[in-house]
Amino acid sequence: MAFLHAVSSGHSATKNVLKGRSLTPYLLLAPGLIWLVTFFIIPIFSLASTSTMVRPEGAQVGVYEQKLRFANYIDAFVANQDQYIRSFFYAALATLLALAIAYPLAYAIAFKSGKYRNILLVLVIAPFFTSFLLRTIAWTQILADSGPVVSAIKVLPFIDELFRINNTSTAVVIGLAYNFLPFMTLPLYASLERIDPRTLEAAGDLYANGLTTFRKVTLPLSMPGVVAGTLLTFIPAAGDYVNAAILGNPSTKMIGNVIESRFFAVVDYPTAAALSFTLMATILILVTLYIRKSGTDELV
Amino acid sequence: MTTTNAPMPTFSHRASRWFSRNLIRIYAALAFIYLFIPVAYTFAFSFNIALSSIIK
Repeated sequence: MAFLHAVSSGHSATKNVLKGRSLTPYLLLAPGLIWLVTFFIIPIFSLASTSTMVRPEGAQVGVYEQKLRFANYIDAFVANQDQYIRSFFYAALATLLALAIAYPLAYAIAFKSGKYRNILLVLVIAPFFTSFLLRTIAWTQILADSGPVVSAIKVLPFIDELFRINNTSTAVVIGLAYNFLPFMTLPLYASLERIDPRTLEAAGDLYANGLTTFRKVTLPLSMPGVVAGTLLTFIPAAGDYVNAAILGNPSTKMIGNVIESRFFAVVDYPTAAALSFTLMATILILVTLYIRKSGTDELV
Repeated sequence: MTTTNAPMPTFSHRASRWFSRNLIRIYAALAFIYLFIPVAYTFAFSFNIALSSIIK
C-alpha cells in the first residue's frame, strides 16, 4: 500500500514538474507580452478606431464619434501627399548621407583603430548623451547665416551672397543624418568586425587590389550591417518632426510635423491617426520590399 | 658588382603616400568632428552670461 502511495505521489510530482516546465516559456514571455499588449496593441487599436471617426455637426473641438469613415485615409493622404513624399525623400537622403559618413567610420574603427577600438566606439555614442533637442538647436547656430559653415562657404567666389543653409531642406537632411548616425554606425561596425581578416589577406594573395578587395569581399560581407543600419536610420528619419521643425521652414515640413500639428494644434485626431497609420503601412511595405531586394531575409 | 641606391622619394610623393595610407583615419577624424561639433557648441555656449543674471 505504502509502495503504491509512493509511486502515485512520485507520478504527481513528475506531472507537476512537467506542467511547470511547459508553463515556463509562457511565464517568461508574459512580461513582454503584457507590455506589448498594453503599450502597442491597445494603442494601435485605439488609433485605428480614431482614424475612422467623424466630427458631428456643431460638436465642440476635439469631440468625435465613430462612423467607420474610411475615406478619412484618402482625404488625409490627398491633403498631405507633398509632405509624405518629402518625408521619404529626406529620409532616403539622410540615410545615404549617414551611410556615406558611417561606413568609413565603422571601417576605421573595425580595422584601423588597434587598441583604441573601444574608446572610439564610446566616442560614437558619447555625443548622444546630450539631449536630442539641444544638439538639433546647436545645428541652427552652426548653420546660421553668420555661422562658421556658411561664412566659410561664402568665401568661395562662385557662391551667391544670399546663400544659406539654415531653414532649408539641406539643414533638415544634415540634422536627420546627424541624429541617426549611431544607428547606422553601430550595426555597420558589428558586421565589419565579424569579417575574418584572413579573407581580406586571401584576396590580397589572389592579387586583388584594395578597391577590388573592398568591392568583392568587404562590402558583400558587411551587407547585413548596411541593411540593418539603413533600416534603423530610415524608419525613424521618415517619421521625425523635430529636425524639420527646428532646422527647416514651412515648405520643408515632413509628415511628422503634420501629424504633430493635427494632434496638438488643430485637434483633428482622425486625420492625425489616419496619417500615422498610412505612414506606418508605407514604411512597412518599403522595408519589406527593401529586405527582399537586398536578400537579407534573416533580418526580418 | 656595383649597387645603386634607389632615389629618395620626393616630399610630395611621400606626402601623397602618407595621405593615401591614412585617408580612412582622416575621414574617421572628420566624422568624429561632425559628431562632436554640436556638443562643443552647446558646451561653448554654456559659458555665456545667462539671461537670468542680466534681467533682475
